[in-house]
Amino acid sequence: MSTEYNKPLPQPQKWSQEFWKGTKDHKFLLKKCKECGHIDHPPYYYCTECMSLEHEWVEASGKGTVYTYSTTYMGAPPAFTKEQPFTLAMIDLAEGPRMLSRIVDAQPEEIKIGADVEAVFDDVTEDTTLIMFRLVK
Amino acid sequence: MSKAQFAIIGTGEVPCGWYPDRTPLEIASIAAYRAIKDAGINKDDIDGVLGQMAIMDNDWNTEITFGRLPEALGMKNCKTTALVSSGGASSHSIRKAAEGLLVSGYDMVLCVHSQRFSTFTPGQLAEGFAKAGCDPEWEIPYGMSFNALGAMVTQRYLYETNQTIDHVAAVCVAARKWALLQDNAMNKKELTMEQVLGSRMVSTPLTAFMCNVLADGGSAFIMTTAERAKKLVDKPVYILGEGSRYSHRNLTKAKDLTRLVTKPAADEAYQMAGLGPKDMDIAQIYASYPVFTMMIFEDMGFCPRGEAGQIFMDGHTSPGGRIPVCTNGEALSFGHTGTGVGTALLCESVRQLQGKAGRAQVPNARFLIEDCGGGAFMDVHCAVLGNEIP
Repeated sequence: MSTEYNKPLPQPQKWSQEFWKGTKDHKFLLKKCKECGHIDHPPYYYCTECMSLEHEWVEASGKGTVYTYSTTYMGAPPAFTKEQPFTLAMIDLAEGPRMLSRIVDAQPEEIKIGADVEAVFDDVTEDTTLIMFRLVK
Repeated sequence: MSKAQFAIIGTGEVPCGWYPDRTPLEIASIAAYRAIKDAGINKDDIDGVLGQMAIMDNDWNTEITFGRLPEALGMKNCKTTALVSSGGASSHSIRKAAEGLLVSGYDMVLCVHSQRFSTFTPGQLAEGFAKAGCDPEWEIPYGMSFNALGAMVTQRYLYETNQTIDHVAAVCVAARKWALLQDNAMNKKELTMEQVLGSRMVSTPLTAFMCNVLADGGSAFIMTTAERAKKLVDKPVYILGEGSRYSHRNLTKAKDLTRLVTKPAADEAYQMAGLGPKDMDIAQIYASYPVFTMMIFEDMGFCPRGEAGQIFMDGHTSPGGRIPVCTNGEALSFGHTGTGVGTALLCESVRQLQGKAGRAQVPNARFLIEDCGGGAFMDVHCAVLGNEIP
């Protein structure tokens, strides 16, 4: 599978490796500050609220709602043109952060702002798993 | 900065479009030549030369960084030269850098932008802009593009304000009307609502004509202190007020995708100038996608939230309208020159206030507000400019 995958893959920072290890095991982890409880996603070196270096990885519920979305029909970067159309979306996670992802297994006209979604794991290569979302019906 | 401490005294520009044979140095040279001649100054009075970073062209950026401009432009008394950038907000950052030099004793600063996109393939440009606008770890792997960013903001803004895609199209049509009056604009064919709405779907809800078009281009301007400017030219354009806010890198981190951070930045600029929206003769809005024109127009105080679209549709922002917006046609019609969209608007602002805007001239324009913003709409910088000090 990995030899066929020619799209860009995440190049994790030292502080985000735990996230990608998690997705590989089909766990959706978020970096939570041990001092102030703030969740940083994307994660950074220290807590962007209180500068604490102490953190823990907590498992997200995988639940969220669609904040906004767009179905791309043309003009995607070259590695993605073959799979057009696809729907990108910003998801408001139940835990607070907003993340960018895709909505899969849905017709574009079924997708609405405010719709409930849940995370699914897409093993795009042997080493990398991306988190996608599908509509909760 | 205090009110009217600095002024712009001359501008230069090259035609915007697809010119693969025109090198970045050629663009920069022509723009600078025209700016110096326009100001009517001696080139050797310029002691600071700043170049704006070009997108995707590292060779040209290296040339600027390593001192090409003052040598090529013959600035015999140049004391320093540097490369400046902050995405689409570069017109702001290069101006602030120039102000810094002037405050620290420099006499006159030349600011130059030059960009050639036409030697890249469409795929390279799509990938290059995706990398510029989107996070390599958290967004690029999903197939994000700049058009998708603009599209998602549009989707949410329409949802929250109950405006329609027709309103978005009206912004594109209005921009084109101004471009028709600009000799240096890339797109000079008339554009109708039907054409905008009926063009190919790119990324919902944005059609092809709602997305800006990349172009080669460049412009230059000359800055000095207000005191010196008054002795040099008939109509210096004073920087009367400025306001800035930074918001985010990744668009998911914007606190409110449908407002950005325009309002506090605009309010600050108005306050410093001692003027308000009702005093403005023109609004020069850096948008690159029509939805941003609408939300920034609202947050600059020209109408309540959710009402911009109708104002564009009714022609009030078009040539002859009561509040002209983007008098050069902006990225949508003048052409998107990377970090130079804001610089082109700034130069057009100066032309308007000097009475040098040709067929696009807004009669008796005295004051205007302009803005720029960089990255994935990461920041907003507003400036109130005027040809007199209120």
